[in-house]
Amino acid sequence: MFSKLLSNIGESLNPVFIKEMRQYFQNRRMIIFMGMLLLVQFICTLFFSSAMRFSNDDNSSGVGFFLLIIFAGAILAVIICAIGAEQRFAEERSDKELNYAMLTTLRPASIIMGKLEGAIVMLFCIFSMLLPFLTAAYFMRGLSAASLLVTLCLFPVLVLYSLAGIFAGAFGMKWITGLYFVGIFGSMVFLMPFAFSIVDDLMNRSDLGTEFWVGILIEYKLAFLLGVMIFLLALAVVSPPKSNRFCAAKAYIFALPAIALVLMIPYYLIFGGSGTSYDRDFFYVIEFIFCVFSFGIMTLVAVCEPPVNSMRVFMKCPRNVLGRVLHFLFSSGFAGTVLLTIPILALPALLIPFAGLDWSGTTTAYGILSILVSFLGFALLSLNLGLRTKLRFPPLGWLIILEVGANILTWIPAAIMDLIPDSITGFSLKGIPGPVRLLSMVFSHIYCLVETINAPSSISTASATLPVHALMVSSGITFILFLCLLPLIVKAFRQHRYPDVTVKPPTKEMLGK
Amino acid sequence: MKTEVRNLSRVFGKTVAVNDISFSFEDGNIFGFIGPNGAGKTTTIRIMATLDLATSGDVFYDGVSATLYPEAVRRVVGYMPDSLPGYKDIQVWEYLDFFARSFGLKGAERTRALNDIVEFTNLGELRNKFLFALSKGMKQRVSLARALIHNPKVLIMDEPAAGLDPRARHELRTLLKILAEQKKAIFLSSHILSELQDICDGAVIIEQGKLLSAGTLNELLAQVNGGAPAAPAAQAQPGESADLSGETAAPAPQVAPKGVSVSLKTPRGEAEPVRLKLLEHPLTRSVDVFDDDEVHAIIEGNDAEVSRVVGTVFAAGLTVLSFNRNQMGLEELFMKITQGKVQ
Repeated sequence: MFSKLLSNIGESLNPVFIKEMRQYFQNRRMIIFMGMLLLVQFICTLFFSSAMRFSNDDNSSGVGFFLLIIFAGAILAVIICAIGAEQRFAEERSDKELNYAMLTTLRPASIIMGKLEGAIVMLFCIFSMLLPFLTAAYFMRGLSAASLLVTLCLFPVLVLYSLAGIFAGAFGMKWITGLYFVGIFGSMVFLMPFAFSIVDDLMNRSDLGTEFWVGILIEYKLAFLLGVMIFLLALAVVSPPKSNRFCAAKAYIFALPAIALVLMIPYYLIFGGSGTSYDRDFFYVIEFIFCVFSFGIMTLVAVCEPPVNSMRVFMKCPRNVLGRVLHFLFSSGFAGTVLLTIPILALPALLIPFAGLDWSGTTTAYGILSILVSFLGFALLSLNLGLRTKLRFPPLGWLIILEVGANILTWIPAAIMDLIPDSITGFSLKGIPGPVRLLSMVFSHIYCLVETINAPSSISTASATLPVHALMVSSGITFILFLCLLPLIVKAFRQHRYPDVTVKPPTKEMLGK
Repeated sequence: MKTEVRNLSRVFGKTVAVNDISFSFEDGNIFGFIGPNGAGKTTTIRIMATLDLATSGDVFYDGVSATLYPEAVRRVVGYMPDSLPGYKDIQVWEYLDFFARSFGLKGAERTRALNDIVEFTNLGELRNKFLFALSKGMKQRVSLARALIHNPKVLIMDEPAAGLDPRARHELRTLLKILAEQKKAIFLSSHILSELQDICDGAVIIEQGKLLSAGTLNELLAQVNGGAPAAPAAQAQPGESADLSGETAAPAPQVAPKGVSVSLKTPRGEAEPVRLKLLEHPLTRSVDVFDDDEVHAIIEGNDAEVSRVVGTVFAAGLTVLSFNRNQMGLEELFMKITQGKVQ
């Protein structure tokens, strides 16, 4: 009976997950890495326990040992689960093995999910290997039982790294692999001091407190929200060409601010106004950040999408008007995505007056809004160039060129101007921003960000109103670019309808029923 | 199952890889897909296997569109690509098991399918070997096993014999013949035309993405040799469908031979007069004498003309050592039809 149960479980598992596990445990490099982790931990145990024996003053040997084990475990998890997953998936893509898997009845979601499940199981394996040594650390000095739980903070971050690895590997391109490496190590350098300060702060506490657990919950929720988005984007990358690949990702990104709000409401109801940091402004800020994030990703998706849809997508288009409009907005295709960015942009704009922000906060918010509008402007310009010119250069390529060019070309003179006092250059009159600074704010996101954060502290009215002026200018330019793109959007909508064809549906035998 | 490629085109930027080609075939036969490098063979095959989408036109399997219902089509089509299995840290058995599971085969059904395919492709001894340890020929076998694991009705193969040694090629030929006997339609591209000639019932020839000719081998040879016109269905024009299935096409015309070669035994010293006598005939292309008592002659013409000449040889009472009919091979046919142009 037990074997039958096991067999039933085996049958219900994702084939990709089974393959992944077989590959993980038959890979020599992985076995060597695992063995090395055990060896390092064993040597460290000997070293720290002997150090503790010979030094009676040392009360923190347990903390040092704990940090070392966690560090080694995290590095190994990143190598095996994140980089390993990325490398293997990229290899599958370049070896065309993914194509053959796609020729089966497996769906792209099963492929991504199987790989993620494999990475998570490996993470559990690595954490299980750490467990005996963590217990040894507890029996050394300076570590409370509760503080061992800080390892929980690591888990969602490592899962996100793995998911990001699967996403990067799905492209099967070397330059994406390079970007992923830069991203993963860059973020580790950024996160590491932050993580160590938290761990150091919590290490000696016997009780971690409610704030810690709420923080952990928020971290898990944020990781979940971000993880789902990366999953859906990976799905779009893996899906066959000319299928409705971006539909799920677009729907999720569009709904993300609302989902974030719903997930945050319980915190406000429980902790709001009770002296904690979870007050009303906190939620406005969180919502604002999610809107900004959704907008940025949605704009990038618009630039990556095809100009025309395939027959396969049109066949799923409803025949009624409302269904057709919704299908147009959410199915793959740049036109619908461009239209979806508008409400996501409107939401933070509406939030600013109600957020109860002070002068400094409001100026910063308008500055960020100005960045969003100008980013949309860049995207619209890229789409116009990519779709209207005959250079056969994709809109994403145009966007990269424009962004890099504009940021470098406008940021450098603006930065030089900033070094010279206004009275000498004469560019900045009282109450009126200098044209160079204004244009820099419109076209250079980096400069705009720096300026909006610095401006309120300088108390100058001219500086403080600069983001609002920049917002007006960038909105005007973006609107003109939108009007230029409008004929293409209208054309795409006209094409977007159920095709006038009669097709023979597959028989039950062909569908395997 | 009838496979129909209808007005298929595929454009990459400004390059027209496949230009409005149409043909069809049915199960139980093996069809070759011939064309120079860059002719659009792999692109066509990828679209047929639902790995790519056509710019216009479509492929139908029993009338079901591959563009609109790729999931259904994948259940009846097996695709063997020109590349080999790429996984390193997985065994042959595990690799095939993964694909069997991916096709939804469960429990005993999966085990049976795996055992059958391992036996059919002669992979029994290799089942526990890692893929990286296999030779190219063995990997080709694994690739074929993967394409057949779900028992498809149509098998599409891209250069299956490339890089194989003569023994492996012979094994592959045998397997394909068995599959054809099992009523599977096999569509394969290859550069080794002598191989195709041995096993194919028909062929599709393309160049620069355009269909040059399609039909059964007899029809194609007849077309080129200028004999009786090929069946109308086989005279594929862009936009028209060339039906390759022997059943639906018009009866195969009389194949116009390139001629016959005859070896004769003469009394010693009498070979030269026989040679001169044969050379007098206008259909005789060449006559060679060996060892004073053996004459080799090549006579060209249609069946009636050749019969007349050969009749006079028999009437003269000479011993016939060998008699062969010289037909144009697929390779010559390919050279004659195509011009070696690439995209």
